[in-house]
Amino acid sequence: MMNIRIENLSFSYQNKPILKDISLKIERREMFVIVGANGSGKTTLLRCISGLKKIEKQKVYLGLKDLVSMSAREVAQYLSALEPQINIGFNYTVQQVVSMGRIAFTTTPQQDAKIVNTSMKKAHVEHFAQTSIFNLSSGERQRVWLAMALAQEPQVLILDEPTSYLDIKYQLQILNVMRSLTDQGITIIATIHDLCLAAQYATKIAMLKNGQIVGIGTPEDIITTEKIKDVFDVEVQIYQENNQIIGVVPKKSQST
Amino acid sequence: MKSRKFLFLFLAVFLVLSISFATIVGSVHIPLQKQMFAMTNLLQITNVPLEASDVFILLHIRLPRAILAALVGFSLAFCGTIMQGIFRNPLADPYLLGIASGATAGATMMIVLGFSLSLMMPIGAFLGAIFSVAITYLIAQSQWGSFSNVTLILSGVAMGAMFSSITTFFIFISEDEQLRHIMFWIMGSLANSRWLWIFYLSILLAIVVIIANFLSKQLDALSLGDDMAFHLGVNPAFIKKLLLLLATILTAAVVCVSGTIGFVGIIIPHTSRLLFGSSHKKLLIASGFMGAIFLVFCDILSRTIAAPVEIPIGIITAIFGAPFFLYLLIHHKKTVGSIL
Repeated sequence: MMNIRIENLSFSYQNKPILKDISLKIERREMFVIVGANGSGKTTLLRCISGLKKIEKQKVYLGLKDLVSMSAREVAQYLSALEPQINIGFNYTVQQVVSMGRIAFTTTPQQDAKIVNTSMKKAHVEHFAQTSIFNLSSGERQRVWLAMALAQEPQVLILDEPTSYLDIKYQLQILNVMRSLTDQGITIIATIHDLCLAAQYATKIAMLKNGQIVGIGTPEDIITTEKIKDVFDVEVQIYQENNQIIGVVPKKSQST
Repeated sequence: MKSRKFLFLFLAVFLVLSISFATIVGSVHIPLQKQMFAMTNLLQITNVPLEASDVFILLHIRLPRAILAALVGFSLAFCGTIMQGIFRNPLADPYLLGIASGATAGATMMIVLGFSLSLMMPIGAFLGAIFSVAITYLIAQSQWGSFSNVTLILSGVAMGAMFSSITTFFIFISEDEQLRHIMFWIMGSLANSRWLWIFYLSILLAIVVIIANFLSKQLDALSLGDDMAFHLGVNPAFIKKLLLLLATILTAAVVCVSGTIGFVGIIIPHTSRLLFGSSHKKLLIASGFMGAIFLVFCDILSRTIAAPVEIPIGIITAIFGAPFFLYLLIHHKKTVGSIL
């Protein structure tokens, strides 16, 4: 079953083309990871899908609906998205933050409270419910944002660099939560800089170069020495075990 | 939910008691019993003979003044909370977009033109405020639709500076008597309270409170930034424009009846945030009540502390507001540190 369809999407900013003729389909329950060098258009692509960037008609479809015809509220009822760095202006408790995920919905306060509790459990933050968001570590906060996004009960979850600024333990924690979400039927679209983690967790990877897709497929199809050399201009060694990538290591003494 | 209703009820009762207290206190002592009879006589429940001067002082001087103080305090704190929420900036206050300086320039102009005691002065203030904010918006309009907070704030600062220089010019050419009026107005005053103003201000405040309260969750979402608010299903540009418009009109109306009373619009929202948390569903109303109670007591002090001379209320709000705020800062260092 199709969740997201993009047809010949191009996007320019101040006459500079950022995305060029992107077409792709993302199926339900996929962990779809977008990789590419800085400035390749990954974030812009996510922002086009989540409705933040103004795009032309009939380019992005959420389910059967054209994104352009949907209001912010309708989009939020279908998908939730998290920005790479979220700064909260004032002091809220974790529960209050997670409750913000229910703004687009007209369910009863009792139903909202139930959904908020379930979301906090899924993101493993239920024991922080009454704690101030300011008293949490970056990793814990990341899980709170995730719980907030889950409170929207989305069909699609869009995460831009969900593992940045996190140590390896928290990175794995977030990625494991993401994997379990796909098991529960949620489609995830994410950008991840760490190619090894991307290969290990993604079900499908799209590689971007200068706003164009240079490959879509399984991690083993896309994370190859040739493609990485082409896109990142870096020589790497790729290690596999049982046909699964377990390491992407840059070769020593190469000038970048 | 229950705790919120209980809190609002408690604050409302406390506000009514504060207003009652304000009507008793003053250079002429009128006992509580007389006050009660004046009220019940007015409602035709009783018919106790009272001295006409006491009735006049209670019903035409003290009561409207105390109620106006409550309305002005409620409005300033309420608008300050909205402004801080929209701009995600703890230094935002209702006068942020040049409202105060525009109003002051308008009022000062009317005073210099010889309209010190007529209705032209508040009208001049209101038009000055609206004119100043309109220009501020127009300057920031290039990014209208998803206007930048920084552009809007900087435009407000620039307009503030321009209107302040106009005010300074009028002060420079004013005569001594006019200067006294100007200074009293700049420092804020509730001395010219009228039932008619109370009526208009109440209606306007009620409209703003109902709409803003309806949008309180959207205001919470804005604290995560415009992009995240959009992801949560909020149209940030629309919500910000609507709330700014409401806060601007209410603040302009307040300024034109009471002058520019500082501190309430910035300190009370912070104090309320420390006491009741940041969720706007509770914060907006709680902050309004706190502002109302605070200003009623400040007005009592301004009338009585050096009686029969009246001290401008702006001085009182700063003298008593600042130490109380500092006390809260010291006792909530961690939370406030995070806010700032």
